[in-house]
Amino acid sequence: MNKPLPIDIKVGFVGVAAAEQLLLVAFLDLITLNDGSIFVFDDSSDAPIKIVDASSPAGRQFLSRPKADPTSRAIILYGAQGPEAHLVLERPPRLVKFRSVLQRAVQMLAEAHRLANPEAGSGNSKLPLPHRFLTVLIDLLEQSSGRGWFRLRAFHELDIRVNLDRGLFSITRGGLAPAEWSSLFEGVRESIALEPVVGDPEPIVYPLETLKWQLAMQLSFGLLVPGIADRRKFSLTRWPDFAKLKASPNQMRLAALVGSRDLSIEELLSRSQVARQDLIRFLNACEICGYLRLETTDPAVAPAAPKEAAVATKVVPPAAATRPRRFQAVLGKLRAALRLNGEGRQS
Amino acid sequence: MTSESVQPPSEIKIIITGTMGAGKTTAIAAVSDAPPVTTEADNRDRAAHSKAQTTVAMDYGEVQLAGGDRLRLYGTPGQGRFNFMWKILGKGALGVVILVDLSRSDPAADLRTYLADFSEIIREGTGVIGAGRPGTDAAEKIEGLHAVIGEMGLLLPVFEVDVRERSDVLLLLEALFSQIEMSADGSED
Repeated sequence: MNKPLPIDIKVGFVGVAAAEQLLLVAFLDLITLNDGSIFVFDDSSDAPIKIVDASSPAGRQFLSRPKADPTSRAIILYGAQGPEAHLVLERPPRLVKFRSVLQRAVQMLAEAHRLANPEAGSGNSKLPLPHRFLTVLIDLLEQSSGRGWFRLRAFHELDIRVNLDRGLFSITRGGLAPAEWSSLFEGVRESIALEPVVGDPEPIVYPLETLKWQLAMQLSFGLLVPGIADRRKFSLTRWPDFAKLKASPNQMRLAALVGSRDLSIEELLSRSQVARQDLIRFLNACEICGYLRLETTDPAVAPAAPKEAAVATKVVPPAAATRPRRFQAVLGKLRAALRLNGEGRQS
Repeated sequence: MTSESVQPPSEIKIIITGTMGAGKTTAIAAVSDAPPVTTEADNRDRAAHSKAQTTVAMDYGEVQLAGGDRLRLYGTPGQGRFNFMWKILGKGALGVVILVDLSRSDPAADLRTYLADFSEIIREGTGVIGAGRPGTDAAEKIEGLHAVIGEMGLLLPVFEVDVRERSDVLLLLEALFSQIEMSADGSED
């Protein structure tokens, strides 16, 4: 069961943006968390996700398919002994497809975990958190100190550098041979660390905030990050700079809502009319970027609010009660006239 | 016929303010249906900004909508000696866009002035800060803007923008529209 399987590893980063590259790394980390049997995830068709034991007839049949199969497919295999995970992308997928594969893979992960651990029940609480990698990375970034550029060790195939003082990051592709991919699994699991970069010219850089934001957008998978999962109400200490981040109309509305008052998840869903998944992504991103005010379920044990929150008293416009709702109709016309589809600036 | 169908046309009035040269006229021109009406004269305050002409009364642009509804955009004069116009222009405005020039020596002090002068609009309505002309110290200066906003007990968006880009001006307006929309929604509490 645990011996390497006779399949090629063909992982393509062609045309994949930095955030998606990180997603792939994160995803490879996720699949090493599992300790169940080997499963196959067949993404070669539009049919519903199919999960089969690789040693079953269906699994063997799938694995024996010609490698030249023109359809895009992902096969994920994992075993009890750790880094036996392989991701096969027969051709570099487009971003939309890539995200779709990742999201479906996470569903597969949950189902596989349920099959391997029936006593864990069907709830999400026992499942490996899809954003474990995200929280590890962000914690590392925020706990580290020092000046200048640091390389994120463990991402052997990607040269990921961060400058914490200046809030910048860069990412470039490296030349890791397929045979060395197993070292990536080991590194991600155990030894994410920062090492100083000395002497290299400064790379093309981006605000670190954009990396955090995109990670949260892509890695939330419907779950609040641990730091805010027990909060009853949410409010902002600062608006995200939507000129730097990709803002959707929903995110702008959510920022306007939680920027003016404390609201629960249900209140936010009701007033904003956004999907729960989108709300979770937004709250996670705000938390990771440090824009959410801290509040716990039990006011008696609520930690002290951060300094910036203390001065950022919310202003509920006194005239709001008299503001005619008919402005909403005008705003709808305005958005159409100005072609404000809400995508904001695509940075 | 319902009462809603006979309502008079609605107008949304937005003020665009900021120091001289911050891009108020440019921002209005970026979204106005027609070239904005401007009241420019020779700049007699070259110490504040080197541009040859500047707005002395107001800039005006609008976006016409079906049913007679419209968005009115008013740009204030940037020079302090014309600040008596600010209150006149601000009357009835639903929101204010404050353009801050990060290349100036103390943009935080500039912002404090405008937040104070337009506090009535901001507290009764909405506001957004567009920070332009960033230099190498932009991050530090933007932190200073957030500090001023916090000191005044406000929570307003600060976007680093280039108002020569129409998409950036639209981003500022969208933030205002969202604030208007969401505060109207809250009125049903």
